Amino acid sequence: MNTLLRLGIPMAAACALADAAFAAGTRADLDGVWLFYGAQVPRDPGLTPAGQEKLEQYDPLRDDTDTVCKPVTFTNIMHTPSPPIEIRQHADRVEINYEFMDVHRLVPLSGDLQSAPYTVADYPHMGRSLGRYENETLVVDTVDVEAGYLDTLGFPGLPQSADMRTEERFVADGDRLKVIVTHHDSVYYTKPMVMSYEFVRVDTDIMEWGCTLEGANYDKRLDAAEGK
Amino acid sequence: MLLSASAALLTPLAAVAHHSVAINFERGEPIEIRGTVKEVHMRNPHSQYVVAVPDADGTITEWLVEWSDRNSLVRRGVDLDLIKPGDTVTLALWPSQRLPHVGYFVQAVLADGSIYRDCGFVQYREAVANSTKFRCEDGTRDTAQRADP
Repeated sequence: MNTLLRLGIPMAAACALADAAFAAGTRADLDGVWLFYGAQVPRDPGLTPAGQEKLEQYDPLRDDTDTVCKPVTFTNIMHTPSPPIEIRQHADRVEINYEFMDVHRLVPLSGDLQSAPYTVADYPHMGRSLGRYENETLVVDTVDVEAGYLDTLGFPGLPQSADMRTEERFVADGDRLKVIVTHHDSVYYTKPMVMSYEFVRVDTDIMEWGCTLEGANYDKRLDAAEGK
Repeated sequence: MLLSASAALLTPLAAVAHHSVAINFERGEPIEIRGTVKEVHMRNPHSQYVVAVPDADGTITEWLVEWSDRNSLVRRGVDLDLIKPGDTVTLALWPSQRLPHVGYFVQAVLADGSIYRDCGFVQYREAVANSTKFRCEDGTRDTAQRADP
């Protein structure tokens, strides 16, 4: 009992301090809706031979899962220019709602990454995420993604393996936001592959996306072109 | 300031869309088609028109014309009924690099002869970033500016 009290009181005090800090706004204010402003992608992503081979096999009409209303990756969504993203910070979690494809992501701020729930319940292929704050910066780690393609927009055809680990750092400056994304994937990359995305805060609401297969793909035209 | 115009690697915004416009369409001088609109689909992730275009010998070819997602057109104040089934229109398009008879919307000469140009996302984004009111001068349907007959 005494041990529990000894542990419990400092933990409770720490939690109270954390809540107080959160309430006082010492974490960066990320709450709001953000519109894509620009991106930086590497000219040389440092592909391994396997990565180069996978890149060369990429067919945008076949391998871009956006065309079947299956969001590719968070990296890819952030590069999609017009649909904004919404961030809502809570004491125990962060919600990130991407208008594109109606992707609703929950990032817990405590627990174990490997056993965290799928970060998007409807899309297990997007992996498991765990967040933390480093001073004012929100840092989100993600693992357990589905092997396939990481990027179909900025550097179309960049691959990802199921072993990839991704770190996203959300750095806010007033109404500007930069998300620095580092992909660690030794199967396809010889070095950490860094991309970054810039946003401006916008006074709008997230709208329903309601992806339609007919609006997303070229299958009919593709089949016609191939004489099917 | 996090955003810098000097960021050399900033991806040109016109180069990206839900499928990569840069990959799928030739963004040089647009081509022009004229025909009758058969289908109008204002939807996500792409709005689309199907246009029946007669060749010189009278053979009809159906073109698929892509445009921005419905949500962004709504945010940009585009009239979603701009082009209706049955309208005869002339469209300027970036042609697909990969598929025949597919193009990306650039400009339309509408059924009444007025011209509509798409402002695109960049102009909207800049208005947001600079806290100015979004005004799409070119995108406003302009009946005073008519195409040559």
